[in-house]
Parts: sequence; structure tokens; C-alpha cells
Amino acid sequence: MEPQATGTAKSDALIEGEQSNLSLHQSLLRPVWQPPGIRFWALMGPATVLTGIYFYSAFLTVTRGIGEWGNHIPVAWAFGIVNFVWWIGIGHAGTLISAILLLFLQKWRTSINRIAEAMTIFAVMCAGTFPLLHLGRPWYFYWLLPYPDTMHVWPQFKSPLTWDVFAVSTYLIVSIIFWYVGMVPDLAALRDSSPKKYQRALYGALSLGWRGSTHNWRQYQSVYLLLAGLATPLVLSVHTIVSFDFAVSILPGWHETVFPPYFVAGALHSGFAMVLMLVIPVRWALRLEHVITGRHLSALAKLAIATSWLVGYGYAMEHFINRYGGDQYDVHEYAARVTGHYAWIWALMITCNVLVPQFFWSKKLRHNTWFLWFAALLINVGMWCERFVIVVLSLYQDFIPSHWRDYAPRLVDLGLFFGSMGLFTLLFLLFLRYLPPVPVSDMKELHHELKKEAA
Amino acid sequence: MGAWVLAGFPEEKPMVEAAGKLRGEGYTLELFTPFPSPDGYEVLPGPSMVPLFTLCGGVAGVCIGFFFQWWANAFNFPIIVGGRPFFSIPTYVPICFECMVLLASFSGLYCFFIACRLPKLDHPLAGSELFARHTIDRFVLAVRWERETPSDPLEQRLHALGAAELDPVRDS
Repeated sequence: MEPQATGTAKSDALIEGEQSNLSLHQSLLRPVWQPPGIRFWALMGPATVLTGIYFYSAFLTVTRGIGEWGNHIPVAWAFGIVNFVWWIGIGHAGTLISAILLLFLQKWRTSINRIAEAMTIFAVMCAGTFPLLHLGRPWYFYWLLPYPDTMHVWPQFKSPLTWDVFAVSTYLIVSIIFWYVGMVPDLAALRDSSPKKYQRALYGALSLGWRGSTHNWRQYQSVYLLLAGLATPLVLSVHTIVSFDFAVSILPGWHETVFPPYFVAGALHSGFAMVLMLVIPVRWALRLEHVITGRHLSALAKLAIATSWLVGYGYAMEHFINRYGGDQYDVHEYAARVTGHYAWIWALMITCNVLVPQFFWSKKLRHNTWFLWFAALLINVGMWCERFVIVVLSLYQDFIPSHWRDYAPRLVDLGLFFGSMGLFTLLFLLFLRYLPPVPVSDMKELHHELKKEAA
Repeated sequence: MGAWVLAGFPEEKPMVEAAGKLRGEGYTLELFTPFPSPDGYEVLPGPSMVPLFTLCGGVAGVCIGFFFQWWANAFNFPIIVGGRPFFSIPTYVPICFECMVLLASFSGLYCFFIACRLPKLDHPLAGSELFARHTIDRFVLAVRWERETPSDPLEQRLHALGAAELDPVRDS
């Protein structure tokens, strides 16, 4: 065996160190079997507090009504939609890494795909809560679905908002199916190495009694590939439909044909940043540096450069079309965006989304995990600003100047926003604690393939 | 009365070669591996119905999505909203697409469960410690052993073919 294959010397190997099936099995499942350390509880504490704030804010919203939010006319869509689009965009990179890179036979996806998929699911969950709360009476959410009600009225299927209900719920369900199917063999591996009887029973039930026979693997590979093939157009459709919520309207700043690709690119941009933000602490805390190597981080950073140019093109296009179209309301809206007193948010968006990722051209900075983490944080800030610019800055100065009104979030808005981050972190930590964070059977397969290539 | 002989191999290649030889001699075999083994598929060829079922689910999804939107908005209770036509194919596309993905995914999932007979919490070989290692690090070749004579040369054959461990499991 050559050293390059398992990468004892090269820092950009996919699997570092001399490994075997057994060593991968033990090191990758260690986080599940080991009792959680101080680092886990140190993160769990703040996450629980923030989750508490989230639920308290949701409680206030539900009991006192939507007036607790800073929304008003004309800014009727504010934090609720900004946060919805931000979270759902974050989710998109998870599907891209797990499905699209699988179809493109990118081997580096293997060790981070489960973390990315878990991120997708929890991000979509957080995203979904915002429009539900924005309904004001979330317990009537089922009115959105087509069901035979006593008034015999059906949802209006020609509205992008109805498409959104179908797109987001399909996305959540299919992401969970994809995640779970991929995990079945690993749950069986957990079952077969359980130290305690109740763990064996628990993981045995979760694995549904999976055995790795040739017949079963054939079915598994078939369904996994098909799900990847279905998830790939799905992920593109979801943010396209989210962008239709805006683009199908006739409002200046929203009515733009560039929106679907620009939204998808923005979604992937924030998603890669979020994967970086999650993977960097996780590989350190769970000692997964041998499978989530510098090469993975570097590849994610390179993708962020690509998506930064895509969103940059979107910004340039918005600028160009406003000038070229010359519609007075469009021109005013854009001028207010760039020079108005929210212009600093627009400037922050350009800086974080387009300029910060350009540092990733430097190989040295790509391999500096601290730098990567903070740059990823800035990208996520920038992407949140982008949604704020789109939603609030297009609304606060509408067609009639007497309607113009500034927007400021209220405490409940902030509680829901920061609280949703706590909820996300809490769910993510529970995932890391109880489920295999790195796909074990896939890693064994990858190790086997690399060994074969080297031989 | 019969039994299975389980042979554990540390590597995939010798297991596949041993399986190929024994298969040629007419033994009934099954391979259990920690990860998918494309070479093993060649030794034990078989169909997968998953793609067909997924296709059917997808086609059904498009049809149901399309038909339902027409039925609800253009036939059962037409309401004029923004002057849009009741029957408008372009606006039906997104929901047809989402229904296709949803139904195709569920059909694929159910077909996967049915084809693998999941959930199936017990397995005839589950008592064997060697068998449990197939999800960890061993490539396990299970050979059906029709006779129950201790002088059967099968065990020696398996050793010669590279098996690291052997574990005979009798039918109960």
C-alpha cells in the first residue's frame, strides 16, 4: 500500500493515518458510545437557554398575537420571512453535498454528508416555524393543505405561497427519508457493537433489523442513488419556489427574473458557510480530524468562492436591470437600498458575501481553521443581510410616500431569531450524541476503494 | 436438517473468489459485507425492483398532482382570483413536480423495505458472533451445508480459500 492512499504524509488526503475497517468503525462510533464530555455540556447549556427563549417568544407571539412583532404596513413581511428564507437556504447545502456531489462521484462528500444532511433537516425545521408563527394562529396551519373542509373551498393552486407549502413540506419529508435510509446500515453497525442490552435493542429497532447481505446492499444502493437523483432537482425547485414568493409579485425589488438562480446560489452560499461553521468545531470536539481533513475544509471554501461569484452576479444584475429598465419606482427602490439609511446593511451584504470569500483563494488561509470559521460566520451574517435587504428594503418605501415607514425588530423578533439558533444547536447536539455523525459503512467503502486504487 | 457454515474473511477479494468457486460447485451462498460489494453482485446476480417502483410512484405523483389541481380549482369549486384562468397548466407545474418527488421517494422507500423484508428484527444467523461482525469489519460468506457429517471437507476448503474464522450454525 502506498502512503498517498491513506495519506500518512499528505495533508490533503481524504482519510488520514493508517486505518482499517475496525479502526474506522471504532473511531467513528466513539462519539455515540463515550459519555458526553464537558465540551458537550458547555454547548448544551447555552443552546437550552436559547431554546427556552425561543419557546417563550413563540408563546408570546401566539398568546398576544402577531402585534408583538415589529411588522407593520408597509413592512408586513419582516423578520418572519427573512429568517425563513435564511434558514431554508442554509439547509440547501446539505442536500447539495449529500445528493449532487454523490451523483458527481465526489469522494470528499462521504465523511461530511451526514452532518450536512442533519443540518438540512434541522434548518428546514427552524425555517418552517417562522411562516407558521407568522400565520398568527398556527394551530390552523392545516388550512394550507388541501383537505375537504365544510365550506368546500380548496387552496388556490395558482399562488406561489401554496407552491411553497408543497415545496417545503416535500423537502423536509424527502430529506428525512434520504437521511434515514443512508443511516440504516450504520444503525445496524451500532446495534452489532452495542455494549449494553438496551442500546442493542434501541439501535436494533432503529436499524429495522438491517443485515448487509448482497441482496440488501443491492436494494440499498439502488434506492439511495434514486433518492439522490430525486433530491437534486428538488433542492433547486425549493429555493426557486421560495424566490417565486417574491418574483411573481409586481413590487420593485422583488419583480426580477434573476431571482430563482440568484436565490439558489445564495442558499448554497450560506449553506456551505454553515457546514464549515459546524464541521470545524465538530471534527475537533469528536476527534474526527482523520476523516474530516484539511482537504474537506478546503473544498468547501473553494465552493464558497464559486457561490460568492454567483451571488455577486445576482447583485450586479439587480444593479444593471434597475438602471437599464429605468422604471422610476425601481430606480427609487434601488437608490433607497444603496444610499438610504439602511445602506450599511447593503454594504455589509456585499462585503461579507462577495469580498470575504475572496480570501479563500489563498491556500494558507483555506487551511487556517480559525480564519475559515470566522469567514463562514461573516458569510452567514452577509446572507442574512441579503434577505433583510430583499424583504425589508423593498417594502419600507412603497409607491405612496405617505406610507413610508422605517422598520425595527422588537424584542420578540430577536428572541425568535436567536432562539431558533439555539433550537438548531440543541437538535444538532442531540444528533451528534445519539446517531453516528460520520457515515461508517461509506467510510469503510471509501477506504477500501482508496486502497484498491493505490494497489 | 441442515446448517450454515459462516466463514469470516478479513478482505473482500478472497471472499468473492471463494464465493465464486463454491457457487460454481453448486453450493447455496449468501454474502454479508460491511459495505456494498460490486464484485459480490456478480457472484450473486439478482434484480432490484426499486427503480421500477420509484418510476411508477413518480408518474402517479405527476398525474395525481395535475388531476387534483384541475379538479379542485377548475371543476369542483372554481373561484376567480386575480383574473387567472381556472385551468392553467403552467401554474400547475411546481405542485406536479413536488408531488412527483414525494410519491417517487415514498415508493422507492417502501419498495426498499419490502425487498429487504424490513423491519425484520430477527435473523436465522443472528446468534452467531461472527455473523454480527459483518457490520463491523468481517466479510462473511455463509454456505448452506446440506449434510450433517463432521468429516465434511467444506470447512477445510474454506480455510484453504482464506477464511480467518469459521462458525457452523445449525438450523433450530
